[in-house]
Amino acid sequence: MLSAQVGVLDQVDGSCKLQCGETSVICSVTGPVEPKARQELPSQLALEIVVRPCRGVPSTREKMLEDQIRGVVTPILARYMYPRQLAQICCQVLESGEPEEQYSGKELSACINAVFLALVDAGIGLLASVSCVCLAITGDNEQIQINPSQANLIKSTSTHVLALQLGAGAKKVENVLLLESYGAFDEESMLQVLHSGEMACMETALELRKVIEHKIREDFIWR
Amino acid sequence: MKEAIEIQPMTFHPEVLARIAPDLSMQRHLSLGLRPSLRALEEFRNVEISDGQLSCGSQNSVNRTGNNILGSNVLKSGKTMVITSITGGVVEENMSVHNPDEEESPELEQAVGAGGVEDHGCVYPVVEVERGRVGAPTDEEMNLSQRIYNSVLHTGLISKKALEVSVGVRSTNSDGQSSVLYPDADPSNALAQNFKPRRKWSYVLYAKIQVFSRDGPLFELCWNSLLYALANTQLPRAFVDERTTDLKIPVSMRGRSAAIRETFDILCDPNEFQPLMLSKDRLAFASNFAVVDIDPEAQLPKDDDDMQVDSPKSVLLADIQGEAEEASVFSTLSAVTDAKGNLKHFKAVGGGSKITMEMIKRSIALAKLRASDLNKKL
Amino acid sequence: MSVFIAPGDDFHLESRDNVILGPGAYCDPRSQAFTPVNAGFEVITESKKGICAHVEYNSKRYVPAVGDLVVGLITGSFSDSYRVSLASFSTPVTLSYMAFPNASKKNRPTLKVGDLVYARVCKADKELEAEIECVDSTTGKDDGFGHLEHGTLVQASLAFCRELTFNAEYPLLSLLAKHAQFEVAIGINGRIWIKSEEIRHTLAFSRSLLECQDHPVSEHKHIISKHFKNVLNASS
Repeated sequence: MLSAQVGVLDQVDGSCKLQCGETSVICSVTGPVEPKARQELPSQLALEIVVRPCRGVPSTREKMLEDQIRGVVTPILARYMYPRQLAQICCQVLESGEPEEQYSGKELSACINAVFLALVDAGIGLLASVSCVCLAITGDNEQIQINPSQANLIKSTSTHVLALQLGAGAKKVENVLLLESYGAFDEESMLQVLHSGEMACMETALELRKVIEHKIREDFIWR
Repeated sequence: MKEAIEIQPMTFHPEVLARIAPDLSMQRHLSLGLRPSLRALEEFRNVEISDGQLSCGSQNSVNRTGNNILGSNVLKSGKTMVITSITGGVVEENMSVHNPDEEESPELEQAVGAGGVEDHGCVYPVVEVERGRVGAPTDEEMNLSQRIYNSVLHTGLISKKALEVSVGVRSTNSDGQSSVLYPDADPSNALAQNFKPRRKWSYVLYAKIQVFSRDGPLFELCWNSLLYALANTQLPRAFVDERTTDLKIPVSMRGRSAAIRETFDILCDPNEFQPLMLSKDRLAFASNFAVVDIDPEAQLPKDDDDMQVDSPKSVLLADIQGEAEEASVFSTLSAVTDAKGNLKHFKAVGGGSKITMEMIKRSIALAKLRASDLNKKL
Repeated sequence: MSVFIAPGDDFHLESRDNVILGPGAYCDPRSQAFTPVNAGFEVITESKKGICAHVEYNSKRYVPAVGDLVVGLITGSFSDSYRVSLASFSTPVTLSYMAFPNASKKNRPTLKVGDLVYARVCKADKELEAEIECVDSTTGKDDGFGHLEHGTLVQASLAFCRELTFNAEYPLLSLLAKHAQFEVAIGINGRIWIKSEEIRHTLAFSRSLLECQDHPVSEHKHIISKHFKNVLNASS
């Protein structure tokens, strides 16, 4: 389902190309670098996040994606290690895999995973690992689809994006970084989503770990 | 070396402390069992609403002429004021070019009837947070607008059907007096019944949401205000002139056979209005919450008699207000629900304190109570 | 050596006493918990002073730390100091005119914008601009620091540069030396300056260095001779 390569771009400090089902994104991270005066924060790392859509010019939809990514990334960054510095994170959506006017969940979950890998590649300090999945509830019997296909997404009655902060070898859930749900659902089905989302996030985290481990072995190949 | 060092305590006004040390202000208030806004932990602010008599469809509108506001709401919560005005337009729908006469195929109808997002209409909200200066919209405004748009779209509050225009016909009789007939007004009238335009129009709704005296997170206030405004929105009836109904103009398409196209001039009736039909079962109200960890070191020393009280590690605050509260909370919850617990939108951001399952359940329970309360004001 | 560790994991430490944290390890100021902040190999070494824990990881962006030997590029000069870039787009560091051997008010160094210097980081507080020096401050001698004339600059990954500097037994440099004479200055900041008598040798050195960082040691010999063969054939 998920495949990713890190270090795909030469000119930036960290990069990642991630494909998750029909959605694929490429993400770059530059930092810590010298910020512009208006971006500088006196005690911590400033973040500049840019999301580019797969076609057309960025709109408020991409602004919201940027805001959501910022909400997820900010708490896991070791921000106080880099005062007065800036990290630039740029995500380019290559394939959306969903009707863009109505949905953004699949792009968001792919972007968050890609940003995490790119940050690791860049060597910017992180306090914890993160992983993200997109979920949809379809049909009358409320089936939960994990990383739904485009067809299932359109059929769904509600869509959810769940990002979890994971620790201890991606085996312990430390916090809910983002849960964003749209559509018609009730409390019980949301708790169901949280439950199966947690499982899926752990699995995703293990996949991401494999990617990172592979990257580290490649990095030290000259040993 | 053993000389006593005198420490002079510094005092600040609450507002100053809230700005320079929001965290401390929050923790000290919490240790008194209060919040910086001086409300109880799970207490919401009162909300005052009125329609502001702005819309041209409202019975006692202040300015009827030259007014294009179709629905309005003024919402006051604390010192924040949100003014929502709904305006609109009419657009022609894209229809199949090949066989405009044919009715929609049954399969298509079924797919549309399934209640997917394809079937949901929307409003296009623009949020403006007034700060006494002009300029490009801020990120907050853009995010709010987009989030409201997404929520309305996925909630299905407005079905596409509710936005369809049932077109009337204006006919002029021999005396030179004109009258407008609508298809649903008088079933016996043959003209309006017979006239079946080959095209479809639908209303497009825009919502301008202005916020004055911002004092905390805004999504919930804007959403509730928009909901009240939509509930009293009156759509003007639209008609075409009789003379133009059978007007046909030859247009050559790509130099090939001349296709025949009609052009209609669609006009809006200044006097006749129809209420916008909202899907009543999908009305849901928004409330926000925050999770704050209690820092044992920042607590005020307690009296001996309440020492044994086991204080919780983190608390849930409802309806965030003010600088001290907004700047010191990093974990927020926001729920859009109706009184029965049918959720429409839920957002949790855990930027600091751990969001537990209990917190989520508690916030939904409170949001339900809040929704039943707000629903009464509709 | 090869215990893989990722951000948010736990260090495999038995106790918290006498632990010295190195790069890639972070002590949370509130909870005082040790966490790795980078993904890499966990390295725990015991010495008399205590137990050192750090994460060996690779990256491209250099963050100054005291004592690092770096290759810097002069990007500006002021009345009493130079501005030096250690990595592109990073915050520049300062190199004071007094941080040269035999420096005095009258005796100003003669570096120009665009010159390369080999220097040591002497101050690196994260809140302040870092400072570097071209003199061994204990002896006052130049100690090999200073202007790097001619030669060429190769950008390599930070972990590779660390290995070249600190692992004296790493065979790459001696393999290179078998082919031609050269001078080298390895900066921990990912920049390697290399100079030899002939330009074609310099070219072969820089190509070999770049390629060797992506291949295991066993292939290095072959890679180097390939590049030298290429430049020598091209000239004849």
